[in-house]
Order: sequence, then C-alpha cells, then structure tokens
Amino acid sequence: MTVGSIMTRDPETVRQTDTVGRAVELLLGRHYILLPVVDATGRYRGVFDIWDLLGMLLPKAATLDRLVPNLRFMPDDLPGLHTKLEHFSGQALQAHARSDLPTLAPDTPIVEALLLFYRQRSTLPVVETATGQVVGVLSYWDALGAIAGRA
Amino acid sequence: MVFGFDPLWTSTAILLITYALIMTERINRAIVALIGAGVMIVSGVITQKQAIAGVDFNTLALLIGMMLLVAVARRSGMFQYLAVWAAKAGRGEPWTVLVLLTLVTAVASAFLDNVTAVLLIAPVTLVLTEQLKVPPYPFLFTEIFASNIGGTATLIGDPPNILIGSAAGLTFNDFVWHLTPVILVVLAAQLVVNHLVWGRRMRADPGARAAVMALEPSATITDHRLLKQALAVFGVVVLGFVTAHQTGLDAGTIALCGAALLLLLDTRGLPIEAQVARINRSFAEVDWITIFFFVGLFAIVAGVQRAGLLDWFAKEIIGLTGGNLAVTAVALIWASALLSAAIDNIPFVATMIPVIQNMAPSFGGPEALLPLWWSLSLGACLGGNGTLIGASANLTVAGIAERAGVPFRFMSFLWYAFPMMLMSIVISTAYVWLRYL
Repeated sequence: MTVGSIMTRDPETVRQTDTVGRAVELLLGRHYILLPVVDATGRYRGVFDIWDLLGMLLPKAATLDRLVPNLRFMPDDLPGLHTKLEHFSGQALQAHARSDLPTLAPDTPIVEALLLFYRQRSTLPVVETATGQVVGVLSYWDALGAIAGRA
Repeated sequence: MVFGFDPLWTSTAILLITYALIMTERINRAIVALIGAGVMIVSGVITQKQAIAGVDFNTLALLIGMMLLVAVARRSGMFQYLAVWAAKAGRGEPWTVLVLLTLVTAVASAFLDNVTAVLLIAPVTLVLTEQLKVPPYPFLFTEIFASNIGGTATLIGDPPNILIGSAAGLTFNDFVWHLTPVILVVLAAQLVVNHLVWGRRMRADPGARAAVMALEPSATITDHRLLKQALAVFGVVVLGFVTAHQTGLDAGTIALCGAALLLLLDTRGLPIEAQVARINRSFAEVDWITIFFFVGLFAIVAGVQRAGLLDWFAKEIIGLTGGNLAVTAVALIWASALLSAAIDNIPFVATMIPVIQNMAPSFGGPEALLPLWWSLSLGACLGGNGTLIGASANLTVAGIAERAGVPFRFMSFLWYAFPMMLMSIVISTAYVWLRYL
C-alpha cells in the first residue's frame, strides 16, 4: 500500500500571493490542519498550518525551544489577540509559509508515512516528485483508517 | 627530548595549534582540548599521571555543582519571576524596566554562569519588549554587558574567576571585597552611556504600559515547594562560600554538596525509577562541553608549564616591564581585555595563571601578586564585552535574538560595544592603580 492509494486527492491549496486572512478562513471554516502553498505555476512552495497561525498570535520568543517556560503571567486579553490576528490578515502568505515540513510522494510506502506522522505530528502534503505539483494530502486519520480497514 | 624534538617546542606547538583550532570554531572546543591533551601525553611531554595532576578538580566541582543547582532551581520559575517582576516594578517605563532587567541580569550572573543567566532572562525580555512595543535591541545589548560585568564580581560568576580563585587560593569574600566595588562603578557607567545612546529616546504608549502593568509575576512560579527548597539551598551554598575561610572548605565541595542536597530534596518520596529520570534530566543540563574543555585545557597547560614555556614567558614579561608591578598590572589588564575581545578568555586565563605564579619570586612572593590576579580577572571578564564573539553569553543572546527576528550583526555590535568595553577597562585600570599600586 502506498500513499497515492489512500491520500485525499486534489486538495484545497493557497497561493503565495493569497493573504493570511484567506488562509485563516479556510483553516477555521473547514477545520483543515494544513494548507499547501503553491506559486503561480501551481508548484509546491511550502505549507501554512494551524500551528503557524497559533505561533503568529504568540510572543515570538515564546515559540523558541521552550526558552520561555510559560505565559501564565500575561493577562487574559482576547481583544489584543483579535487585533493581532487582524494585523496579520492582510499580509501575503509568502512571508509566513514554511518549507521545512517533509512532503510525501504518491509512491511513498505507507510505513514511511507513519514514521513522518510520528515525527511531525501533522498532516502531510503529497507532491509529485517530477513536476512539483501538489496532488494530495494525507492525514494520520486517513492512514490509520486504511490500516484498520475502515477506509 | 621527545621523538627527537625539544619538549619546549613540542608543547608550544601543541598549545598554539590548540588555540588556532579553538579560534576557527570548525571543531568543537572540547574535542580540540581533549585531543591536544592526548597529543601532549602521547608525544611524551608529560605522563598521564602528570596530566591528571594538572586538572583542577576544585574548579570542575564548582562548575558542575553550580550548573546542577541552576538546572533544578530553574524548573521552579524563579528566574522568570524576577524578570517579570522587574517589568512591573518599572511601571512599564521602558528605561526603568531596562535598568531593572540589567540589575537582575547582573545579580543573576554574579551567582550563575553568564550563559545560563542570559538564557533565563533574554527570552522573557523579548516577550516584555513585545508587550511594551519597544525595540528589544537596547535591552538585549545591555543584558549582554550586565552578564559579563556581573559575572566579574564574584568567584562563581565567570569561569576565569573560578580558575583564578582556585589557583591563587582566593575566596568568595576576596572577590566580593576586591572586585564588587569597581564592578558597581562599571555597571553604573555603562547604564549612563546606554541612557545617552538609547534610553532618553525610549517611549511606550499608555496601552502598552497598561499591558505590562497587568502582568502577574507570581503566576510564573510553577512549583512553590521547589522554589522554597532552591532558595534555601542557594542560601546555604552562598553562606558556605562566605564562611569558606573559617570552615576551610573549598568552593567545589560547597557547590557539589549543595547540588546533591537540592537533588535529594527534589527527588524525595519519588519511586526509584522516577528519581533516576529526574536526576538524569538535571545531569543532562550540565554543560559537559565546558567541563571536558576544562579537563583538556588543564592537561595542555600542565604540559607547557612542565616544558618550561610559561616560566620563560613570565621572565620575558618581567624583562619587558622592568620588573615593575604597576606596569605589569596595567599591561596585564589591557592585554587581557583586548585578547579576550577576540579569543576565548578561558584558555587565555588558564595559560596566564601559571605565568603569573612564576612571577612571584620577582615581585617578593605570592602575596604581592594580588593586583595581578585582579587585573587578569577584570581584563579577561570585561574584555569579552568588546565584540560579539568575545564571550559565550554574547553569542547566546545574539542567537536567541536572531531567531526572534531581531538582527544582531557583528559590526553594529562592535560599533557600540568596543568603546563601552574600553571605558570599563579605563575604570578598572584606575581602580587597580589607585587601590593597589
């Protein structure tokens, strides 16, 4: 069994020139974990995921290697967080997409996908190696469902 | 003769190659020092027994003991508390907050390793400056200076002082009595300059100040029981340092006993498996690279000492300074500062200690060397402020800042830091001259 046989095909993608606000709409509106980011030719350029969104709302230093043990000393400030989200909404995704998440290929063995899920704790994009086009996404739910015979 | 080579030349070559490799930073410094020590033994300059005899276990015990104490104590949240408290006590006024954070950093560095101190304070500073909506660079810059300045004030604040104190038999109280006064002046002078450069232009809007005033320092404490235990053990350890002269205990014994006591309290009542896991976690936070770097370095210095290089070097310095203590002290403080701005101050100090010890007969005995020890300490520790690569704490803060999106460039740091470092050396020179010469 390979990734190509169980992945969700033709997933929703966003362009590098799309705004953070558009990505937020998709993530929150459709409960996606992750959005593949592509360039004008449709080539895969990275991802923007729910963790990136959470990181944007946190003080930057608090996202670095647990150097700040906790933020319990900060006041409860929902309007402040909303303002911060608004501030990022108009910015292009290009500045916020990241390319360090490993990708899967349609012919990747499922056991390799399980290892990457275990290490990354994330849904992963499936990219055609030759063309660089996003052809699907695979979540750990999809993989475990297939293994359990529920797919 | 060693393999047909003079041991003096062999050991000198090993020392210089070790220095060069440490400076290039292409190979980890602990590996370089251990290989250098190995070559010193294999080439026959010294035996393994002589190399081990050259290792200062008091220094190692003091370093390991303090690192373990901090590793356990930091889990209580006590250092984060101090930083958040400083922001609130400064009522959200950026300059006042900067001064208080500087003082917290300096005091923390006087009792903890400088890198540990900035690792605890700098990330919280970034959170606080984001809340205040002010540029973090002046805060981080000042904290770098404060860590190196504060670390100079005590026996345990900076590795060069630990090396000097152990080799010269100087106590915790000696360092406080002789160095803390000038350190307070240097710190105050540095704050004045920083105010002129940055402080007088710092402003925060009322909303940002209100956000800082809403911070709750006590919420940073994650383990009240551990906090009380850590404070009690720190108190006992500091008392041990202060009374070391009367008790006859070495600093290494005091620090390691304190660490063992805190580990005991921290793991009390836990099943043995949980004890092992927690102790492993604390041991993993010891900076073993520094410890093994010291081990290798001590053996290398023992080699060049035995081969006669350091005795020759001491005589050359005496010859150049005409055997004048005042000239030697001033030359030492400036040479130490300028070299420490460019190279790691630990190998430099480790090499200079036997050189100074070899000068004792020329100056009338070990007691007469006191001004030279303080000159070496002030020059080596404060010199690290001169460049971004001058001290480990500088690079640690720069690394955190870069990752948080705050650029820390070599030349822009040098532009402000080098003149400020020179100012601190001028003050130190005046102090040593007026008090001891």
